[in-house]
Amino acid sequence: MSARRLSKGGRIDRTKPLNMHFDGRALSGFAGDSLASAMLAGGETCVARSFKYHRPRGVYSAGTEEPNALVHLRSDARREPNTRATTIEAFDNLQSSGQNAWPNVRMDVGAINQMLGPFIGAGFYYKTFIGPFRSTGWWMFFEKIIRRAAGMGSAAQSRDPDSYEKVNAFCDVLVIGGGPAGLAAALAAGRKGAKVILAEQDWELGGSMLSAPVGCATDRWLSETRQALSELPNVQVMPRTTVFGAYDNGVYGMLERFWDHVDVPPEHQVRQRYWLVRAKSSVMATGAIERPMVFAGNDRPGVMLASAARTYVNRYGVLPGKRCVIATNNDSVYAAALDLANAGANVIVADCRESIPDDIAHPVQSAGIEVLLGHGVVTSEGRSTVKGARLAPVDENGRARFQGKIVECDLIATSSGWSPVVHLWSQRQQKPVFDPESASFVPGEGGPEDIFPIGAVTASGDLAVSIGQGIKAGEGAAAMSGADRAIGDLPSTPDAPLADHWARDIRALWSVTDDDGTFPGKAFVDLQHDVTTSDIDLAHREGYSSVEHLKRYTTTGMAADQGKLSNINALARMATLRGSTIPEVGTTTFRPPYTPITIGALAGREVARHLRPTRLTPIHDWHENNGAVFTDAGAWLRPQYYPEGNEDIDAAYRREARHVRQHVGLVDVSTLGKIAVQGPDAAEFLNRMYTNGWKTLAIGRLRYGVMLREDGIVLDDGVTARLGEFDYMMSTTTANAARILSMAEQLLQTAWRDLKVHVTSVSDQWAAIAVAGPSARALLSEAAPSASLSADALPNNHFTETEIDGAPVRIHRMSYSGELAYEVYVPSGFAHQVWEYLLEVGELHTVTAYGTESMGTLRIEKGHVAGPELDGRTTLKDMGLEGLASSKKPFVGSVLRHRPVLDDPSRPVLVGLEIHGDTGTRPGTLLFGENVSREGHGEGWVSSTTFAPALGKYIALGFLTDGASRYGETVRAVDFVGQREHKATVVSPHFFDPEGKRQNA
Amino acid sequence: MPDIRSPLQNHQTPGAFGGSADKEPSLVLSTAPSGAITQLAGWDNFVETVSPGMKELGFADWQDYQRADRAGELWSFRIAPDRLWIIGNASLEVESSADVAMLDLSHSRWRIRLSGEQGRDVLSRLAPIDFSDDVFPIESFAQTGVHHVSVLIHHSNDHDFDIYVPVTWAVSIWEAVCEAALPFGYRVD
Repeated sequence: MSARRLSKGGRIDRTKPLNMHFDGRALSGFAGDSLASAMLAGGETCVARSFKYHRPRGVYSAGTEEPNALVHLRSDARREPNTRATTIEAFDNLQSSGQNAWPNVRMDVGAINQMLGPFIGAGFYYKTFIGPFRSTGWWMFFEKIIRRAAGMGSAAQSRDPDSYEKVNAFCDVLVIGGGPAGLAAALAAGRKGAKVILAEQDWELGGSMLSAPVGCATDRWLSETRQALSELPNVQVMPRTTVFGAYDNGVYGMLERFWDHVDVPPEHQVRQRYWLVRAKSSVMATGAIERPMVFAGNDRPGVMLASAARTYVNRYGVLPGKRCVIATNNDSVYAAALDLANAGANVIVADCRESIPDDIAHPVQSAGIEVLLGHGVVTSEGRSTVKGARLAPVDENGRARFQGKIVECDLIATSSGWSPVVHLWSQRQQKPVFDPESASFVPGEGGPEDIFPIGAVTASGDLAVSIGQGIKAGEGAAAMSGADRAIGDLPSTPDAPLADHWARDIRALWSVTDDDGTFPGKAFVDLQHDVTTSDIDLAHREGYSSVEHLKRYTTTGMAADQGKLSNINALARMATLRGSTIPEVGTTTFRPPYTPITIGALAGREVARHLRPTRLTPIHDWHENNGAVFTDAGAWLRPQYYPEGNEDIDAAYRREARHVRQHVGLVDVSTLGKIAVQGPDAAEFLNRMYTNGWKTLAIGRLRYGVMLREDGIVLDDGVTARLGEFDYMMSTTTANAARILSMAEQLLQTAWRDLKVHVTSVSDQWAAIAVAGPSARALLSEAAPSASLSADALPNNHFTETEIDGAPVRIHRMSYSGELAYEVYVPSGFAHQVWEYLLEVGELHTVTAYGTESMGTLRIEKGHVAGPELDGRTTLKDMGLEGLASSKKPFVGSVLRHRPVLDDPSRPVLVGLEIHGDTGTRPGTLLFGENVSREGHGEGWVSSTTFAPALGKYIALGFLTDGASRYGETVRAVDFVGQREHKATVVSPHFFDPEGKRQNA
Repeated sequence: MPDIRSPLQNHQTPGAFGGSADKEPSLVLSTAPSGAITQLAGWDNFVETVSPGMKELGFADWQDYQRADRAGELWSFRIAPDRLWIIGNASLEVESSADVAMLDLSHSRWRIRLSGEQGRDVLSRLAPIDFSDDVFPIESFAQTGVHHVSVLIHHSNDHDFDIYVPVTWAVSIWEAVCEAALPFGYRVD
């Protein structure tokens, strides 16, 4: 292959030279080039190594179907693997490099794999790693080596410095594809007055027209149409935008490469956009992709699609070869033949048909092109590039009638027809149908009414037909959303260039073999995944006759190009082997995306810190300003502890816990779920949600309650306050707030339609501050002078409404720590101020702020259950809360909690554990009797652990079989993960102040 | 009554951000307390039950689920068949009855306002709603999700869009709005 830049011509801007690099070597180009055209112009013959065999590969196409020229684009953190050089718009300072090769694509040690070819055929992995080894261990070991040898590019390891965004768009008509049919449709729909989005994956509008010679009749039509579109404010023209997915209800996914055609995007601008478009109707003008002919050595650099050769000559001003052999079974290659000849190449066409139409024969003859009728290319000649082609007369099955002759050439351009781009059609659950006349799969009749397939995707025949279809579809699609303006004059349809389509007289012949039906060398069906005809043959011999099985067994049609080139050829081979037809074999289902999408674009701005939203309490700023160390609690950030000096977490939480028991402390409990329960049936609702009774709760009172799941397992616990005749406020644990609300909503809207109750989250309306410790009453009495907080005036489970520092608050008398304690509910906008005021007033009472770690310590000392105990495995009985279950009324879980397995007396029950020694144990540790073997799951487990400053030792809560009758017994706590074992004495879970003197003070 | 503290007090920095250096941003992001929010919720015959009261407040056309109704300095949003929000300067001092549950949510939401022609473009990056004028004219509102959090978006004035966000999520959503506005450029006063 000896491609070179022509001295004139092409749709490139020769006044704007670009400096680029491939594999560290300088590569020059012009604005308007693709990376691939610049590579060809620069003599880069071998640009990649193949996936499995590491065979040298050159540029094969000029579009998204490219199977070979996959390269790394950019470098370092911006490196993008597996980009198709044919679709990369050239820009100044572009850096790219070869992939899947060492040391580089021109000299690749991995090429040894070609020798191993016979051993790594279809099903290699299945056969090698499933049978003999009987474990995944071998695969795990070999996978790393195999992946390195056979593979694609490698992704950047560091964080992508660029940003991406997601955009929602709405339109009446989405036109997919900016070729002749799509442009005509967009113009017609736009003139009708519809809101139109026209998406074109190329950086220029025009589609196949861009591959026609500069200055031909279609150029005028193209510029007039572009101009007319630009005058319509209701038409949004989006170049560099690929519609990659079609979904139900007219939803489409699009990727816009917004600032991908520059080295680094401008500051603040995104590189790519992921668009979600909701379209009332859509026009699929997705075009068609040329199919290669299958013959031995059809992957050698210098073999390419005939249409690609034409594109390189006419669009990019690059002559891909001086001596060209074109192999075909249809008319469409003759335009390429003429353009190559006009650009100075010597051209021979090997047409497997016995005759060609006169309208083609005459111009071809006068251009000096030699046409060999009834001939095919049996094999390419040469080593790393094409040096020649063996041409031979072929019969109707593609078998050479005799050896044939070798013709010297540096380019073999092939075409075995075209494949309409039915991918988006197929994604909408539509089966493409085989059209024998054009020998291709096309969208069938009776598809969704909102989709209008037009142009080459329907094998439309010629340019005039495509444009006519476009106008009709544009009008029809616009009418669906009521647009009814007159469309006026449209640019007149240009004369069709020579043989602009393939359907006429196509000969269904896909491959050429020697006279015995064999290929004299590797003949590739799928170039990208290195699947040869012999792999398909092998799969057939082994019984893989279904096309879906064939695909998965041989991997044909997989990888980045998703079978854009290989699909029909693989089906045809299978049909031949099965003695059936292509429609009988069928085609596989296409799925999104049509072309690969970067994960960055799909993630948009939801990365790093914004991977998910973060929830902050109304007092968060104080915590942050005062050195709190935060911990994640679901989406919340909560202060875990407030270190003093160089304190570590252990020192800090012990100090905080000790302080609360001696003086008084404040903890921010705003994260508790808070649900307003309102309505005349609120008490009945609570009766059904909670296990205990609620009909007697008086206004001004609080009650603790436990909820079960329907299967009888404990779900959540919390305190509910009765605020008024029809108003209650329920609290839930932090973790279950959303779950309880949605469960309540669901029950009220389904099973409990009889209840007049509304539930509303008030978690954001109210902040909550727990004030705990012997001085809590003194502190609050001073902070809220108008409230009566004495033991008589406000006993446990009562609340009062008052003011603190001018803010209205509700003070609940309740204790989680086991100390004399209150919870202050304050409207969240006042919470920060009230918190600061309590600390200020509390200074005389030696107040401190404490975090979740010491809060946990205090509740474990007291033996209160929390999340680690309510872990989805435990029952009321397991936790000694059986007394909270009413037998007089039904509630969620009241039936299934009596399942035999939950009533089993051998179930582990809640116990306290005093750990021997001076280290603690960990949650999840298993419990074994002292003389029982350490096997199996033990007799129970540890749920919560802490050092207990109040007791001066390590303690834990846990569940132990027959726990209540084993107080005093020594058990072993075995941590199989940390490989540690402690001895522990079983005690009551109420370690500290079991009589409750302190909290009742 | 003390002042309501902004959940964005430590996060909202005045200045001009993003866009291109040579152009003064035209988009303004601002935030404010939501104002008093009162939720009215009822059951069967909700419309009949609350109609007299709504009429008394001056609301004539409050039953639409997509348009807010305005009565002086009060706006009503019908957020569900049997629920209404009334947003204004003062909360309605009405107690719950057996027919209507009243709930004060004034502290639960913060208001983020996008002012300027690019406001709807920024919103198109945040929520799957068509904010164009013909579909979402002034007084339209939608309950949707921004950055995974449920919000209410109100087209309150010519080029003003208000997002009512739950206060505990306000920082995250504010940052998401700012990031989405970065390519356009925006000002915070």
